[in-house]
This record gives sequence, C-alpha cells and structure tokens, in this order.
Amino acid sequence: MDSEEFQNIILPLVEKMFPLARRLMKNDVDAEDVIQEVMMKLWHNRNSWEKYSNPIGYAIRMTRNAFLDRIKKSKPELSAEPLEFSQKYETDQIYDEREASKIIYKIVSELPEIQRLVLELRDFDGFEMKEIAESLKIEISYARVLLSRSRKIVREKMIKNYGYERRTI
Amino acid sequence: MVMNEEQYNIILKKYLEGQSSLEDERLLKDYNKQHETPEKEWFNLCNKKTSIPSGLQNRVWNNIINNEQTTSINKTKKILYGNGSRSHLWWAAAIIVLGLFSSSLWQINRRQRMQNQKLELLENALFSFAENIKSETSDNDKASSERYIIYQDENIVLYSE
Repeated sequence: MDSEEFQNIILPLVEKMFPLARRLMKNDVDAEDVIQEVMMKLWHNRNSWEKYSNPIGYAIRMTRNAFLDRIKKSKPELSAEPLEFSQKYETDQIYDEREASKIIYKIVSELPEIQRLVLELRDFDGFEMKEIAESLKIEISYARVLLSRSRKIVREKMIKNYGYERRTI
Repeated sequence: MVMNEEQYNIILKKYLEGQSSLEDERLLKDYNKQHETPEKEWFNLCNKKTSIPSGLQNRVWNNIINNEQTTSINKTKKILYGNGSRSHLWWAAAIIVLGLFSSSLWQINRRQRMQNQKLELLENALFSFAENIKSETSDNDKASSERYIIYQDENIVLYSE
C-alpha cells in the first residue's frame, strides 16, 4: 500500500476511531495521542495490510490495545462518566441529563466486560457488527447475542431504577 | 420516515434482540427525540456525537511523515556512527579487516614478483643452454664426416671414429 492509498483508505478511519478513543481516554489530547499511535502502527504495517479482512475491526482492536497499554503504564483513575458531565455550569435540563447519564453509565459499567464492550462499540460508537466481531475476535452471531443481552439488561435496570423514579415525580 | 408507535415497537424488539441495522437504530433515536418513551434517556445518550478536533487527519498524517523522515535519518546515522559505545568497536573491527585485507594483497603481490623473477632466470638458463647445444652440434657436424654411425633414432646417435 503506497502513501496515496493509505491517505485515501486508512487515514479517514481517524474520524471513525476518534469517538472511541475519546470515550476510552476521557479527554481530547490523550485520545489524539492514541489515534496518532494507532495510525503510526498502521502506517508501519501498511505492506501487510491485505491480510486483514476487516480494516476497521483491526483498527478498533489496536485502539483498545493502545488504551490498555496506557492504563498499564500510568494506571489512571477510570470512571464510567465522560468528561462532559463533570463540568460545573449547568441548567436544570443539563442537570437532569447529567444525572440520567450518570445512572446509565453506572448500569453499563456493571455489565460483564465483553457485553459492555459490544454495547459501547455499537450504541455509543456506531460500528457495524462485523467490525465489532472482528475487533473482539468473536463470531458475529455471538456478538449479536451479547449485544441483545446487554441491551435488555440496561433497559430492564433503567426502567426499574431510573425510569420508574422519573415517572413517579 | 415517520414512525407510529406500533412500528417503533417492532423495531425496538429487533433492537433488543440485537438484530437491528444501523439505519433501524437511527430511526429509534429520531423517534425518541420527539416522544416520551422508557428508552428516551438511553437513546439520547447514544445519540450524543463526539466532536472531532479540526484538522485531526492532517495533523496525524504530518506526524507520520515527520516521524518517517526522522526514522530514516536515524537509520543512516546508526549505520554511520553505530549505537552509542559500540561505535568504537565497529570502527576498530573495520580497521582490522582493512589492515588484514591490504596485508594479504601485499603478500600476493610479493609472491607474484618472486615467481616472475624465477621464470626470468629459468628462461635465461634455457637460452644459454640452447646456445651451448647449438655450438656443440656445429662442431659435431665438422667431425661427422670422419665418423661412422652405428645406431641412430630420434633421441640417440651412436657412432664410432
């Protein structure tokens, strides 16, 4: 793969991978660093690129691995809550959204890891099922089963905890 | 596409079974923007878009190119100067190899010269030997008239006086 092909095929993945990196790293600067690292690796592996049937799945896996490497090195305090909801200024609506999001993120964070990953990659990042399956090295049918389980659990818990409270107010 | 509640529930069922497409999911999100449902907060959260920093692609690409250039310069430096303290060893080894090579060249040259000298001496000796034989043969011719040949072949001539 020459540099023109790389710029046309692989580089646009940056925009698709950034939300995932941003969600994992919780700030723009670190997310950009992770994306840079992943793209650098993809550039070095550009000549063996043909052996990967699903480039996006491979890029997702590399992004997660880069994130895990950083955790091992720096051991940051991980929180299920993204940065936007930690900001100080807020209206009533933003406050409600923030509280709702806190509850949802808590529910999601309590899911078994593989279910959480599939759910986040699909519902938060919008990846195709084959890309998710490739990134986690599982069958698509199994990825769908995991997704179904996690969605049902989240919905059930939301109705039970948050949804019920909200309607009674 | 504007959905009614019935259609919404059909797609929601597919969604909960993990069988919905990205397009189905977009319809669910759109529906939840305008209607109150138990899933509204969930779909609102899923609908949040992360803003991509401007010029991200260009920055990433420029860094790749810069890194590539730096790497190739470093590779050249490594070849020329080696890696840290080991560079002295490489230079010493190179000098030794060069010394051995030039010494063996000198030896070969010397041997060649000696051989040439020997060949020259041999040629001179053969030449003077041939001259001697020639003069001897002409002396013999003078005497041959007074000689009687007993036996003669390619190599030997036997005669009596």
